[in-house]
Amino acid sequence: MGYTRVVYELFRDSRYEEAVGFLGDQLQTNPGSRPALSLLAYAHYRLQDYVNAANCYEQLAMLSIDEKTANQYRLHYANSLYQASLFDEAYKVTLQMADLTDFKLSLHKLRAAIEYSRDDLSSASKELQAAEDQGDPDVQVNHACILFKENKFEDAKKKLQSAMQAQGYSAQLYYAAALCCYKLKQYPQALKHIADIIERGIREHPELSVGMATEGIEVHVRNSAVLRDTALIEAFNLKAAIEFELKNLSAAKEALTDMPPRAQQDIDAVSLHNQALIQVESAPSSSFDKLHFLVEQGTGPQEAFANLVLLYCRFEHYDLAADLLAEHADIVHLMLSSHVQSFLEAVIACQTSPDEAYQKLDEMAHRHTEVFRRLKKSSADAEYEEELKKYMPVLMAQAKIHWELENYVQVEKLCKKSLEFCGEQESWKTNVAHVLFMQGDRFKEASSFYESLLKNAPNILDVPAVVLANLCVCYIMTSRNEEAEELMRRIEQAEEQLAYTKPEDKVYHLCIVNLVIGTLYCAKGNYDFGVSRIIKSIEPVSKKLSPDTWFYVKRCFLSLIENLTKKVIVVRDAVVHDCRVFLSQCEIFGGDIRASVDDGRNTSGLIPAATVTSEARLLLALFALINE
Amino acid sequence: KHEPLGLIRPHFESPFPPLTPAVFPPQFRALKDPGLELFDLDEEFSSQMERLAQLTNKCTDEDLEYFI
Repeated sequence: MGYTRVVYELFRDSRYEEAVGFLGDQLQTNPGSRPALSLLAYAHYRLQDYVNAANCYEQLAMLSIDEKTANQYRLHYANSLYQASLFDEAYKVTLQMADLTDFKLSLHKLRAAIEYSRDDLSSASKELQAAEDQGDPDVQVNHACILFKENKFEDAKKKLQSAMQAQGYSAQLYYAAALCCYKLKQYPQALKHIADIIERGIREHPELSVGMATEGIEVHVRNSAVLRDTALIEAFNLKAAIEFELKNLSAAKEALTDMPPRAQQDIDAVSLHNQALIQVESAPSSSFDKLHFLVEQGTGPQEAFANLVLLYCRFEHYDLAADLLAEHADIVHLMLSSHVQSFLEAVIACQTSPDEAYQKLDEMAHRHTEVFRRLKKSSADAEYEEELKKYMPVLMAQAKIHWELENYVQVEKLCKKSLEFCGEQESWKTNVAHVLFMQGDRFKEASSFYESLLKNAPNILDVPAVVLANLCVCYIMTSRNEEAEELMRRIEQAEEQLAYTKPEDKVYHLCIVNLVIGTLYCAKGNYDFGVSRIIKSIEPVSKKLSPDTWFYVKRCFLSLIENLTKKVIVVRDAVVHDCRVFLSQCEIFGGDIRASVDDGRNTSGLIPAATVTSEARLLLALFALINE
Repeated sequence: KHEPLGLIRPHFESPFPPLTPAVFPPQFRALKDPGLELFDLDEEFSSQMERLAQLTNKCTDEDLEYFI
């Protein structure tokens, strides 16, 4: 079979890697061959390997004797450099071919694109104006892009809509329109455009394997011009972003796994960033690794920096947060809003000088309350909500300084002072309830706050487990045992219902309630009843063991062991027997379960973390010693 | 730290400023992809031996004298 046929069939079937291999060999035997170079350049370009494409086009431009052909290649050369994000180099090449009549429009468009990428929006506009006279339909879309970058989303959307009417379907155009809707918080309309893009993508390109990864089927697709033109990666990331903003984490996660599956090394920075955000709760170490990688690379999405600092602080890695801020001191003001920046500074300062931090937060809080008063008068509800979202972290960070010192009366005072603004906020109610609870003699008041949280929830399992558990304790401590039992029955029923309808969802509510009540009885010296509750809470052991639950289990066991050795208490032999049987179970099922929570710190994996199995063995050994 | 067993101290809820997901910017339209050029590769890529073979096939005995 002839070469022509073989090679062009590879292109027809999009087998660009093979084409690159074959053409590369041919170029070795025929150095400077124009067909080999041209086809190789095209194959590289289609594989989005723009640096290699640029190299080929550069050689072609130099080899061409005919001036027009040489310029054509020079244009491709500049375009490939632009695609490779080598903006300065690309711009230089366009200047070398200044104002050739045949290439005028292309040169203006390319320069506009380069200026746009370099965030020089006024130069980009100027270049576009020069192209406008030629009636190119792309110009309108590009104007919309500039408006978008200027945060004029409504205007950008209008331009895009008229382009959509004029040009018919284009996935990237629909995506841009969806993006404007997202920025304008018009989520239903954004999701509608996204659904269109996905439906088209699946229909026209089944080979891109949309949804396969969610189904658990392992396939990989490569980054390609086809993938880019479908806008599927863009659309699925936007979908994930919307679901994330709406707090539908499982839907956000699904959007990310639904997108065309790629090998780890092919994943773009935006997708990687969003993966990191989605898995913060389940696998913080891996999230931190991804975000850190993106920040260090410097090519990642801008959001990565703020998110990483915020997460470091949320997981109480204040030293890492401080290091990151110090290392990037020159860009911090670009990456963080001034509000977030002062908040983070205060939270980090808490570790070394709580007084100073308290002062800082107090000043911030004062500014916020002034804004509240003003907004309340003008009844600007949306702004009021926004302001509240900024204020809550400040107030609670301040209250937490007292909380850490176990100064519960002060926490209560501080919270009650802001009752007027935040009295309806769930986190406010929860913390006030906790503070009353911890004072030890105000269970009645605490219970009414906990009850109001329960009353507002559509489903009992939507209420945090600790709220339910503490409410039970409040009931028991105020001799309302029937109410505690009734509440536990409701939780049990809700969990049974859930196990029936959504067997894959894991809930630990009843488990935690039993743990808290078990601990209460142990703390009061009734180990007989307390330990049996603890053991019951972890049934079945194969399902309920987790780093979190294990922490509270072992606390009670250690306390039991301590009091037994001091001979402060005696328990029936049967109790000790139950304990040992239970711990043997933990030994069997705890091999893969870390004994402490993944706090995102131990990322090296060099030192194997203690497991529940190893700690259960230690406790068993202690019980054996007592028995002797 | 060692202390007598007490009630489980709940975690104090401290809300944080929200995390922001990333999205791709809208795609600016630069140039169309470079096109696929058409070449006769059989001519171009034939190795020298093959070309010699083709050439000799075209020749007859009468050309031999000239060749030598």
